[in-house]
Amino acid sequence: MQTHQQALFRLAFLMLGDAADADDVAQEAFVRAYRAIDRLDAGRPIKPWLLAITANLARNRRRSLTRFAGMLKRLVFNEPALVVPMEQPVVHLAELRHRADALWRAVRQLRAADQEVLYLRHFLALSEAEAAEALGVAAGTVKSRSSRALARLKAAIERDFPELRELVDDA
Amino acid sequence: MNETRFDARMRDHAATLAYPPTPDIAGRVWARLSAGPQRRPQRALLASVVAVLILCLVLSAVPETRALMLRVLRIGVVQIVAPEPTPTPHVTVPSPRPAAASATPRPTPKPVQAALFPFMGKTTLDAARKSAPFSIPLPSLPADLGQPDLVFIQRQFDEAVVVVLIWMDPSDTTRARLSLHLLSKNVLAQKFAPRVIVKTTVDGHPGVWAEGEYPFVLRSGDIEVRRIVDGNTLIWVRDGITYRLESRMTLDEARKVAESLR
Repeated sequence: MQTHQQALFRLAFLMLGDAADADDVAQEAFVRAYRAIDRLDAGRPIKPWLLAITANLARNRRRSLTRFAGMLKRLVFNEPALVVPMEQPVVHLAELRHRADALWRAVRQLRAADQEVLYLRHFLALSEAEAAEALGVAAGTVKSRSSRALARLKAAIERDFPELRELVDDA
Repeated sequence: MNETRFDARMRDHAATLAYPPTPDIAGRVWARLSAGPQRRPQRALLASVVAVLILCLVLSAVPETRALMLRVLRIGVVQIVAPEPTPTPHVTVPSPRPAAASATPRPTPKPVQAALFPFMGKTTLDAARKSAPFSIPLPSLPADLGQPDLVFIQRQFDEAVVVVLIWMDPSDTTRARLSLHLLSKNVLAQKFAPRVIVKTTVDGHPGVWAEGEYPFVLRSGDIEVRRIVDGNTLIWVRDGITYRLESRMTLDEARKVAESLR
């Protein structure tokens, strides 16, 4: 578990934007995987399988009332607000806007399916085969999905993220 | 596009993203697994429902939070979880001049609480006007307001679109003077426990005036926008778009600004 916990946590964090939610989802993914371990084919790599479970749980979490209940509880009891890290006063905005954060914000403008393939391939650096396992599709599908997602990301950057123009200039 | 080059650059940038530290997930999972027997999915679902009910009961038993549970109002796409509406505003932020004539914002020693970063979708007014599925009017009052200093556009599957316009306080660049949200259908915004709520109109369109500090959360799949100005909010609906004007103005002043949108 310790080998894979970082990857699961990071994928959940990328999809949900909240560390507490990501922690919950990663834990639940491990619990479900443990209970379903008999169904894992021998020889099948475990990491993409765990990431597939994590992605499913994160998708459900995004849609569920659970986040709303958690948010309400945090608001009422003055616990730290959820969401995205590195919130800073606007006066520091220029120097603190790291390009990686901008890139993540750009990716989050895309459709969920585009986000997921980019998170797996580019943020978590999975191979095409691993990403295909995690998404439950063929490797060729990952390639074409990545290509389309990158094209949409490029358009989003050109439209809304001037600070990332360097990424797409002459590319 | 040279896809390979873009692909490589993106990979390099993505690799530098700062994640929160990974918690001890493995330890907690082992603790969970050794704590109890396996629950069936139906039982888990039932447990979730019960947990939410218990949460509601607990919240309603706490005096400070009971008011939160009393009433849910809806104006456009904004839900307001709030006490009973009060007939007249009893908290009025003083303003030296009416909005129509105010040339400079009222200085106040209180620092702005709402952080403006990180919002998704920073853009320009022109770009936002090109890509938004609705028109983006600007207030012509106060007379010195001009164009917004910050513009954000966020979308979720093209069906839920949020435009946020922010005018910074010229006397204090760390705080916002005024902000205007334009929320399309399919967005859900929630506001918790404002001190005063008054039903009103803007150019004959239904509106709500909310006073006091309160959390504001915008939900359109991802939660990205929070309250920007520590003050009061005028919310109204026109042609299917919900407008939120945050400012430190009074109701009359805010309504004049709202009615000046062109």
